[in-house]
Formats: sequence, C-alpha cells, structure tokens
Amino acid sequence: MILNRISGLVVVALGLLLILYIIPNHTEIDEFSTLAPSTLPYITASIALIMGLVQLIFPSGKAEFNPGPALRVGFYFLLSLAGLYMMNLIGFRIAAPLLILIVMILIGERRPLWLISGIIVMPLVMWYAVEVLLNWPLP
Amino acid sequence: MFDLNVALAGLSDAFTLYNLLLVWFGVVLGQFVGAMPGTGPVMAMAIAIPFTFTLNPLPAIAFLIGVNKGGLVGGAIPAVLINTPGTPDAAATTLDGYPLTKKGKPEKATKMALYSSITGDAFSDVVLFTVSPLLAVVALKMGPLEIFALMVFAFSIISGLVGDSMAKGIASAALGLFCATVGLDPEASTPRFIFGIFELYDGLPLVSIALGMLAVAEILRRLSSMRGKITAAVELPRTQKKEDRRISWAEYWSCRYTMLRGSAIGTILGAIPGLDSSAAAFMSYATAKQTSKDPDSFGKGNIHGIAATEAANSSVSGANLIPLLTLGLPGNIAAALIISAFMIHGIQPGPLLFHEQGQLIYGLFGALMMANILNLITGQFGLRLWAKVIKAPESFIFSTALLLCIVGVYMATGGLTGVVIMFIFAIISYLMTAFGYSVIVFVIGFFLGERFELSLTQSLSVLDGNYALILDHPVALGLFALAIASAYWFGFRPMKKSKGKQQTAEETTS
Repeated sequence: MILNRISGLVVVALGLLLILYIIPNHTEIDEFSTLAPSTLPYITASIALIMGLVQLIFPSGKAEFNPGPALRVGFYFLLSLAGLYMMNLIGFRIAAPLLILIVMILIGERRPLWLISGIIVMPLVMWYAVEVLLNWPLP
Repeated sequence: MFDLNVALAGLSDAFTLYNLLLVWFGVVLGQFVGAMPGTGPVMAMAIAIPFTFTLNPLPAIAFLIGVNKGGLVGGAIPAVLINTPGTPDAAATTLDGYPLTKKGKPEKATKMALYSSITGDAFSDVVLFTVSPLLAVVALKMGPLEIFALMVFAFSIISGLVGDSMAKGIASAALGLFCATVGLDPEASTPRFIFGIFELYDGLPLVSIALGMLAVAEILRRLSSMRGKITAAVELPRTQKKEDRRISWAEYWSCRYTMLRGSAIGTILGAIPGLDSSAAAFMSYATAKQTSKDPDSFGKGNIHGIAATEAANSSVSGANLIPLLTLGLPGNIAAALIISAFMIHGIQPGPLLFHEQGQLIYGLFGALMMANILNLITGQFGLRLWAKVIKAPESFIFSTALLLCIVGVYMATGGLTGVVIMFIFAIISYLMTAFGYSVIVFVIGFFLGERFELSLTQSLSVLDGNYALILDHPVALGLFALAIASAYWFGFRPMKKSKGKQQTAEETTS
C-alpha cells in the first residue's frame, strides 16, 4: 500500500516537473501549427499526473520493491556505465573482456573454461563479426 | 487488390539459399534461447534487431520471425523437462508435459510439444495468408481521421495489458507516448526535449528503448540475483523404450481435434491485439479437458494436454501478424519488436503496407512457411541438444548477452549515446516492474506514439475546427465506439471481476 502511494507520488512529481519546467523550456512555439509542438507532451504529462494522483489517493495493484536487489541492480548499472566509459577510452578490445571478467567473477563464476569462453572467446567472436565481417567500427 | 505477379515475385524473393540459411539460423537461435529458462524469444529478438540493421528488410524480418517461432518451440523444452517454462507462453505445457517426463518419457513429451506447436503455427499462418490481404484492402480506404480512430482503438485494446491497476497502466501508456514526442515535432519540425544532445533530433532510438526495457533490465535483474553457478537441472534417461522416444502417427492423429481446437482458439485470440498466448494456451487446455472422455488423466501426463497448449500458444504468433501487417497494430511484445524492425528499415507497417510493399509481405509469407518447416526439422534433431542447453551457466549466458546488447545498440545508433539511453531505460524498466507499472504498455505506447501524433495532426487539419465533420466518417465513428467498448471489455471489466473475486476471498477468510 505504502509502495503504491510512493509510486503515485513519484509519478505526480514527474508530471509536475514536466508540466511546470521541462515542457515550457524545451519546446518551441509555432503559431502556424494545427497542433502546437507542446500539446501532446502537455496532454500526456497531465494524464500521468492525474493517474499519479489517483494512485496516491486510491492505491491499487501489486508493488514489490526490495532495496537489496535494487542496490545490486544499481551497482551493475554503474559497472556497465563504467565499462562503456572504458570502451570509449581504451577501446572495445580491452574494455569488453575486462567488463565481462568483472561481471563473471562478481556473480561467482570460477570455472576456467567458462571464464575463458566469456572473457576471450565471445568478445573475440563479436569483434570479428562486427569489425571484420560487417566492417562496422566498434569503440 | 490481390496481384498474383506481386505474390509470386515476393515468394521467389523469399526462397533463396541466403534467406533459408538466415531463417534457419533464426530458428536455431530461437530454440536455443527459448530452451534457456528466463531468457526467451523476446530477449533474443530484442538483441538480434540491431544486428539485422545491416541486412535487407526481407532477410532481416524473416530472421526475426525465425527467432520468434523457434523460441516458441524451445520454450516448451524446459517446461516439459524441468517444470520451468522457458517462456511464459509455455506455462500451461508444464501441466501435462512434466508429469509425462516423470513417467520416464521426456522425449515423447517434447516431441508431442514440437509436433503440436508446428501444427498450430502452420494453421495460423494459413489464416494469416488468406485473411490479411482482404483486411488490407479494407484498411486502404481509411483516411487520416480513420487512422487516428484506429490509433485510439489500439490504445484502448492495450488496456487489456495494464495488469491489476488501471491508473498505473494509463500512466505507463501516457509516459510511453510522452517519450515518443522527444525529437522533431511532425508538423513544424521544431526540436523538443533535445537537452543539447544532437542525437536526439531523431527522437529516442527505438532499439535503445526496446533492448533497454525488455532485455537489459532482465539481464541486470538476473545478474543481481546470482550467487554462484548453475548445476545441471535435468538428465535425459539413456535407456528409454523406442515407443517412449517418439510419437506414433496414431498418437498424433488421435490429437487432431484437440490441436485443431487449440489452433482455432490461439488464432482468434492472437488476431485480437493485447491478448497473450499464455491465455490462449490455458483456454485451450481447459476446453480439451472439458471435452475429453477421460478428463481425470489430464495433469497426469496426457499427450492431449500438451497438444492443446502447444497448438494454441504457437498459433498466436502467426495470428499476431494479422493486425500488425494490415493495421500497424502490435498485438503483443514480439509483434511490437517486429514493428520496430520494420521501422528501422524505413518501412511503416499499416494499411498502406500491402499496397506499397506487397512483394516484401509475400516474401515474408514465404519466410513464415520456411520457418515452420525448419522449426520441425531443427526440433526433430535438436531436442536432445537443447536439453543439454539447460546446463549452460547463467553467468556465461547473461554476461555475454549484456555485451551483445552494448554492441548491437552501438551498431544501430552509431555511438555510445544510444547505449547510455539503453541503460537508463533498463533502470526505468526495472523500477516500473518493481512498482507494478506495465513495461509492455509503455513500450507499445512509445512505438505507437509517433504515428498517433501524426494522425492527430492530420485529423485536425482535415476537420479544420469543424468537429461536426466527424459525422461524415462512419468508419472512424465505428472505431471510436469500438475503442470505448474494448476499453470496457479488456480494461475495466476484468478489473471489476478480479476486485469482486478479491472481496469474496476476503469475506470467506474473515
């Protein structure tokens, strides 16, 4: 019940942010348009706001949020972003195996054969398929 | 109108060695991924879409259809062998599939699943080939107002997917629609919500949203829940009697009415956007049990139970393409992904598709036929192999899938911005799922958003302030009426029913 109310509150806050700040500041006014560029964004944001209010006052549906798993998801999200940053910095050929190595070790994989398959074979296959066969540059 | 030359040209486009190999690769990949519990063809399709970017439209979409069809067959394997459906569609297959495995007949169970799946799939494809060209002729007569009404109808239908809270469902659709407004507006081409990122001028990339919300979110969730490695879940008994390792013609023929009924149920439900294949499978199972002379044997390893569920869930995949190809409405998430593949290749699914891309559509029909045959052949020889797939460690599968998503989106969007957007939407998807907001509704709202705004703009231009003119468009009026009816039927009515049931349960317990 509380989680449903919190989610309603978040949607209300998002709706208000969109209506009061983001839409007015990030759309342009075009006098000759049949449908102003900001009309549909305003309509959708208002619907979201109203539905958020409904959820806040009359909470319904299932909600199951566990902080532990959510923090771990957040960690893997940040790790992936760090991997992307590294790819941009030192290139796919070094950063991709490194990212896979860290992920596989963190989730408890210790078998050498599977580690080699994940860290060396798969990134190599991907690099070969994309850069060599498809002639598409990777970072 | 139907043009035989176009149809034959399309079919000849499809039947090439190159396409055959691609469809076969798709089927193999689909069966492989489908056999992995927790992955499924949707994730495989989402990951594969960016890689099809370099292909021509027909091979690309044919490959994706191969993945989808293969996944439906593959999903039944873990359902039968370890009582864990590889895909949600195969949930009902566990009811009789697993008991048959426990009786020491795993190969009989998986083969029945394969044959009935192919039968159901072929049935719905025949319906697709015959019904969709006729429906497309009707759809061609639609103007902007009718298209807009159709969009409203589509949104009312997806109300069936919102889950147990209408407020959350509508909020999800609204936010999906909002995200579709990022980029240049369709009328004046003024930039919206660009935030100085020039890549956003074309809007949020479809592949980033699809992969982020459907694949990466699930990968992150699975990675976060892993604590070690996976051990083998099942071993096929090495010594099975010959008759326990196969389905005889007599056994297959005895299930003909069950399969036919299941296929009809799946095709009808599949042609209605918003209804998923697991509903068809359970409905078919219930009907088969009710009409059986020996209903008590259901749930104890009856091959009719497997035939009913697999024929129904597989026939949904072909039928889902009917609204997609004729009206541009994605019936489920797999269809939404196929729509995104069309759009990536610059093709807009909808009423004009048969007229403008007739050859491609008939080529697609050819690919569907190929996929069915290849599905049967691959399944026939690969079932034992896929049973071994269940032993592959998740640590390897999901870390590789993560890298595939990064590479795929990088290729499709041409830079890391698209990949960052993918990860952001993965987190949004994770939070939405945790708080009970429908990700599927969000994604479908996003996919339909651009066309919705365009048709709204065109409709307003046609009406030019005189809203009484809408009375001159009976088809549009009919569609608006249907939208109201379907919003009630698919959205409010089931919700009322479940609330009623909940109250009854509470009263009983108190």
